[in-house]
Amino acid sequence: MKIVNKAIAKRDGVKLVTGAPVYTDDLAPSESLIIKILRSKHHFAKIIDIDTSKAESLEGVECVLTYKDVPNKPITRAGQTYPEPSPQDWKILDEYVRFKGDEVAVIAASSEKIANKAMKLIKVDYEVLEPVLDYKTAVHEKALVHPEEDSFTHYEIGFEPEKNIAAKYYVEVGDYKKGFEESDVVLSREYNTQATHPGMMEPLTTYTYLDHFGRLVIVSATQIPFHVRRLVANSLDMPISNVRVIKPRIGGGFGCKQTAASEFFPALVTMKTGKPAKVFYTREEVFLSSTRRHPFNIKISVGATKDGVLKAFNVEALSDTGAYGEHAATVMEACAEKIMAFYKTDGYRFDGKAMYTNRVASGAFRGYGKTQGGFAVESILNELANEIGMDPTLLRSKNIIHQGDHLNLGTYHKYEDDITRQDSCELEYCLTRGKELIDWDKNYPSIKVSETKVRGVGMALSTQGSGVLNIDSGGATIKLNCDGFFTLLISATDMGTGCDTILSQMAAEILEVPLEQVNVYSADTDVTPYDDGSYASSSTYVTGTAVKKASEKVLSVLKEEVAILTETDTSDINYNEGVFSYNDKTMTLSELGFKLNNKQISVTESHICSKEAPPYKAGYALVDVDLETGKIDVVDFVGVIDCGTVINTNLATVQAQGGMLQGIGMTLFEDITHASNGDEMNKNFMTYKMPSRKDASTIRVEFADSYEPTGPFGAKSIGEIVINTAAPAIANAIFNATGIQFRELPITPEKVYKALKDKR
Amino acid sequence: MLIEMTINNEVKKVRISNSDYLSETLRDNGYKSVKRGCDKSTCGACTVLVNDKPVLSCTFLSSRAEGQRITTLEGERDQALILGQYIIDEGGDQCGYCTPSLALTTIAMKRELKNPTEEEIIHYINGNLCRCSGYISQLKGIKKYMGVE
Amino acid sequence: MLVINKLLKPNTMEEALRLLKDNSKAHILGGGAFLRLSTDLKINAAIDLYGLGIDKIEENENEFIIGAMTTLRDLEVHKTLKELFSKSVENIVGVQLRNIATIGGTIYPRYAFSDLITSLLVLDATLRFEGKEDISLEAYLLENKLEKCILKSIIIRKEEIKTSFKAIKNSASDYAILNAAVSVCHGKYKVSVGAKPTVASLAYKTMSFLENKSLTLELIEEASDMAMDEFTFGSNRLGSADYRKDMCKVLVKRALMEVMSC
Repeated sequence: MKIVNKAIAKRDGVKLVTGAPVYTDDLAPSESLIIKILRSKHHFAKIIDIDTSKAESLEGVECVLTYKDVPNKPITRAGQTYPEPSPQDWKILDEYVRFKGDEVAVIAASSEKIANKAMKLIKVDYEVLEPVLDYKTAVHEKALVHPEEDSFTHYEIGFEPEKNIAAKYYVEVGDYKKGFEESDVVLSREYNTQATHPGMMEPLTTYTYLDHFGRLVIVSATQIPFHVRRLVANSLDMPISNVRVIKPRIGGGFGCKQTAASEFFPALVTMKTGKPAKVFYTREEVFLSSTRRHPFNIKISVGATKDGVLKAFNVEALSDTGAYGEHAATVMEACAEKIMAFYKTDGYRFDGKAMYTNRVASGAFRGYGKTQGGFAVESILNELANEIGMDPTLLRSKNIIHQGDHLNLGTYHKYEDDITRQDSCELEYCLTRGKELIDWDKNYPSIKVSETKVRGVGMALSTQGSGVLNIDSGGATIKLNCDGFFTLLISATDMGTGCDTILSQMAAEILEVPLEQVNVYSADTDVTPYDDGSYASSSTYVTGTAVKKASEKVLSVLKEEVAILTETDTSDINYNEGVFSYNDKTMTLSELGFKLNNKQISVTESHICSKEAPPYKAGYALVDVDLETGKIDVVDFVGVIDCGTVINTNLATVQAQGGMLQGIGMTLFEDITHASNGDEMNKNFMTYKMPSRKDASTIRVEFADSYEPTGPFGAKSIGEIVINTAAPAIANAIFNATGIQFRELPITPEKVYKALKDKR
Repeated sequence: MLIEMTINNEVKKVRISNSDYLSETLRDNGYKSVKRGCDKSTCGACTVLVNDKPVLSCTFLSSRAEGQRITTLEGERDQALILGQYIIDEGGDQCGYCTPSLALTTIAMKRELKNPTEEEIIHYINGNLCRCSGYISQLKGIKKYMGVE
Repeated sequence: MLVINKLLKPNTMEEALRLLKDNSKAHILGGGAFLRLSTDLKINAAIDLYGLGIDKIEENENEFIIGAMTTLRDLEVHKTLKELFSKSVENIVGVQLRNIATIGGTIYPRYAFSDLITSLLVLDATLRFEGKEDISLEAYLLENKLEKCILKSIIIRKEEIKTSFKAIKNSASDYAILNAAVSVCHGKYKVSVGAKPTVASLAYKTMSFLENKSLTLELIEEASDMAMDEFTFGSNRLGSADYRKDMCKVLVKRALMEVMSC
C-alpha cells in the first residue's frame, strides 16, 4: 500500500500550526449578537417569577428570553440516531431548573460586556426544592428530579422517573448461578469511579444566522451535525429542512460535543431576531453545563475454579446521569455488553440503573461506560489472581478469547455467528507483548527502589467497539472534477483525530492517485452525505467502509464512461495509477475529467456497522509509590493495541499516547468533588487538574499485526479504547507494591498514605 | 480610549476600554491565532509575546499594552512554519487549538534558552496544556526545532 | 466579568499612594495575576504600578533589593537569586503566568497557598512600603490587616545560608497540599510551613531546639516531630488536617536532610 498504513501528515496541519482562523469563534461574523446565559444558582428549583424588564431596557440588549418564549417541548440533546434511546426530558428553557448551572434565561446583546451587565439585572423568584444529590440513594428519595408529566421515551429503556431512574439495563447470559455453584473461589467487591471531564481545549461554541433563503444556518464545534440539525429543529418546532448545520475545525471533543448544547441558544435568538448570534462558553460553563463521564458504583462478584478458570460474573451497577438522561441508557448498555465480553465464562448477570440527580448532566466521554466497568472487572480479576496465588497475566491467558471465538456480549439479542465471531483478535499477542515490553518478569510484583519508595507493576485488558452494531452509519460521496481530481464529501467529524486525512488516504489508495488529488470536505448537512458523526469509534471502521465502497464504485463508473467515450468494451479497459488503458491507447484522469465536464460523475455510498469488530488492548503500568507521602509516579506505561490495520501510523500512535495520558489523569489527578452544600469544587483548570507536560510519563505504544476482513484495508478502531486499562493497571501496580487494593478513583496521595498508615 | 501599540512590528492604534484584556482586544482586531481556552490564566492557549516575553493575554490588561511590542503567531510566520513542520511530522498537531500558543512559546524559548536540556524544555512549555496528544510527539518536534537530541 | 471604572496611571510611588488614599474602593494593580481569580470583579479605581520602575532587582554589598513588581520568572532565572527561589516558583502554572505574577502581588495579600512566601520566610526578608514603616516578612504575616500602603521592595540580607524548599502536590503544577522551607545560617535555623491551609508561619520551638546544633538523622527526626506539633492544620478541598500534619513531618524532615547534605 502506498498511502494507507503510512505516517502521513495531517492535511490541515500547516494551517493549524500557523494559527489560521478556522475554528467556530474565528469565523463568526463580527456583527453577531453576543449571547450570555443566566444559570441557576440552585440545585433544584421552580421559577415562580422572572422579571427581565430592566435587562431588556439596557442599551445594547437585543432580547432576553425565558421559558415563556420557547416551545414547551421536551426533547433530548443526546447525539444519537433517531429514535434516540434517551429520555426526552430537556427543554431549551424550562420553569424547572434541575442543577446549579441549568439555563434560566438567554441574553443577546451587542457586546459581551453589555450581555454580562444585563444578566445581573434579571430578577428571578425561585421556589427552592429539596435536591437529590446522591445517586446511590436517589431511588429512595422522596424528591423527584423529573416530577413533570410530559417527559417520555421513544421506546422502553427502563425510564422510571418516579424512582429517579433514567434508564435500566438487565441481562443474564448463560447460567451464572450454576457457574457460581461450580466455583471454588467467589470474590465480591465494590468499585467506584468518579465524574471526569473531557477537558478539550476549545470550549463549546456556536454561531447562527439566516441565509438568503431565510433558512437557519448553525455553525458549530459539534461532533454530530446531522443530530444537531434534527434536535434543534425539533426543539424550535421548525421543519428540519429549514435548518443547515456546518462544522468547521473543532478544538477537541472526546464526547463532550456529542451532546447538543450550545447550539440551541443562538438558534433561538436568530429565529427570534433575524440576526446572526454567537455563543462562546466560558470554561466554567463548560465544566458546569456541558456533559461529562458518568460516575459509576459497581458491586461485582466473580466465581472461578482454584485453577483460575472463570465460571461466572454478577454485576450490579449504578450510574449518576445527573439532571438529564442523555446517554444514560446507552452508557449502561455499553458497559454491560462489553466489559467482560472477551472472557469465556459459563454465565454472566448485569443489573444496571442510571439514576437522576440534581447534578450536572453526565453524557458521552471516551470509553463510554466501558472505562468505568473495565476498572471494576479488571480490578476484581487482578484481586482474584492474587487470591488464588496466580500471576494476573496467566489468569487472563487462561480465559480470553482468540481469533475464531465469539464475543460473549451482555445482551439478549441473538446475533448470527458471523456477527459476533472475531475474525481478528490479537488479545493474546497484546497480553504477551505488553508483558515483554514492561519487563514484567523482572518487575513483578515489586522492587524496592529506596527506603521510602517501592516500584510495582500491574496490568489490565480491554475492548471497546468499532461503531455501534446495526445503528452507526456513515456515508461518502466522491465526485470527479475536470482535470481529474476528486472531491470526497464526508460527515465524519474530524476534531483533531485526523479522520479527514485518514479517510482521504483510503480514497486515494483505492483511486490510485496521490493524496493531493483527493480534496476532502466535512461537514455540511446540505452538502455532505449522512453520517452519525464521529463517536463510538466509528469513523475509521464505518465511514471508512463507505469511503472504500464509494471509491471502488467511482472507478467502475469511470471505466464505463471511458468505454462509452472510446467505444470499447468495459472489460477491455484497465486502470492503473491515474491512467486508463485500452487497445494500446491511454487516457489520463485529467483528460477524462475534461471530456466529462458536461456530466457530473458522483457516487454516494453508505455503510451501516454490521459486525462486532472491536479493538483490543493490553495495558501495563510501572509505578513508584512514595511510602512516606503516598504520592504515585507512573514510571512507564505500555499499551499494545490491536486495531486491525493502522491506517495512519503517526496519528494512531498520537491518539494512543493522548488517550493513555487521559487514563492516567483519570486514575491519579482528575476529580469532581462537592462542598457540603453540594456545590461543585472543580470548575476550572486550577481546580480540575488534567496532566500537564511535567506530569506526562513515558508512554509506549505498539500495534499488533492484525487484519479485520470486514474493515476497510483491515482496519478496526482506536478512538476510545486508548483511555481504558490505565485505572485498573495502575491500581494493580499499587497493590503489587504495597498490598493495598484501591477500589475508588482517583487514587490520591492522601488516600494512599492513609491506607498505608492503617495497614501499619 | 485609543491607544498605540506595536503588533507584529506594525504600529497600531487600538480602541480599548479600562477593563479589556489583551486576548479579547487582539481577537477583536483580527489576530485569531490567539485562542481563548479558559479565561482563567491556566491553559496557555492565549499566549502572546510582550516585549519578547511569553505572557497570558487573558490576564494582561489591554491598557498595559500601550507603547509595548506585542507579537502574535501571525507575526512569526516563518518560524511557525519551520517549527510547525517538525510537529506535524510527529503527528503532534491534533485538534490544533493549543498549537499556535505552543508554537509562540517555543519560538520565544529558542531565543531565550541556549542549549537547553529536555527537562528545561518541558519546564518552559509546561504552561501550554494539551488534551489530545499526550505531549510526547509535540516534545519530539520541539526538540528537533531547538536542535536538541 | 471585570469592571474597572477609573484606570489611574501614577508617575511616582508617592502619587500612587496619594491616589490610593484619595479614592474609595481603590485597588492596586501589581502583576495582575489576581484579576482572573474571581469571576466577577468590580474595581472603582485601579492604580496601575506597571511602568513605575519597581520591577528591578538591585544589590549592594549587604543586600538584594527586589522591586515589588519583579516577576516570579525574573526571580526564577536571576543568576544568584535562583538558588533561593527557583524551587518554590518554578512549578507555578507556566512561564507565561510567571511573567505576569509578581513578588509584591504575592506577598501583599498574604496568599496562604503561596510557595514563594514559605521560602521567603526562612530568609532575612524585610518589606519596604510606600506609606508604612519597614517590617519583617515574619511580622507582616502575623498582622491581620490590609492597610492603605503600597509594597515597594523586598530586601533580602546577603548571608551565608543554606536553604531547602519542599512541597507536596498531587500533579506537578497544582496548588501545594502543604509546603515547607528550611534554612540554616551560622547555626541559626528557620523552619516555615505554609498552605496549612493557612499562610506560612515559623516553627519557633523547633527552631530554638535546633539552634547551634549540627544536623544528624536522629536530630532531624526529633525536630520534624516537633514541627508537626507546633502548627494547627486545617482541612479543605486539597487535603485533610490529619494528612497535612503527617506531611509536615515528612517535608520538614526532607528539607532538613537536604540542608544537611549540602
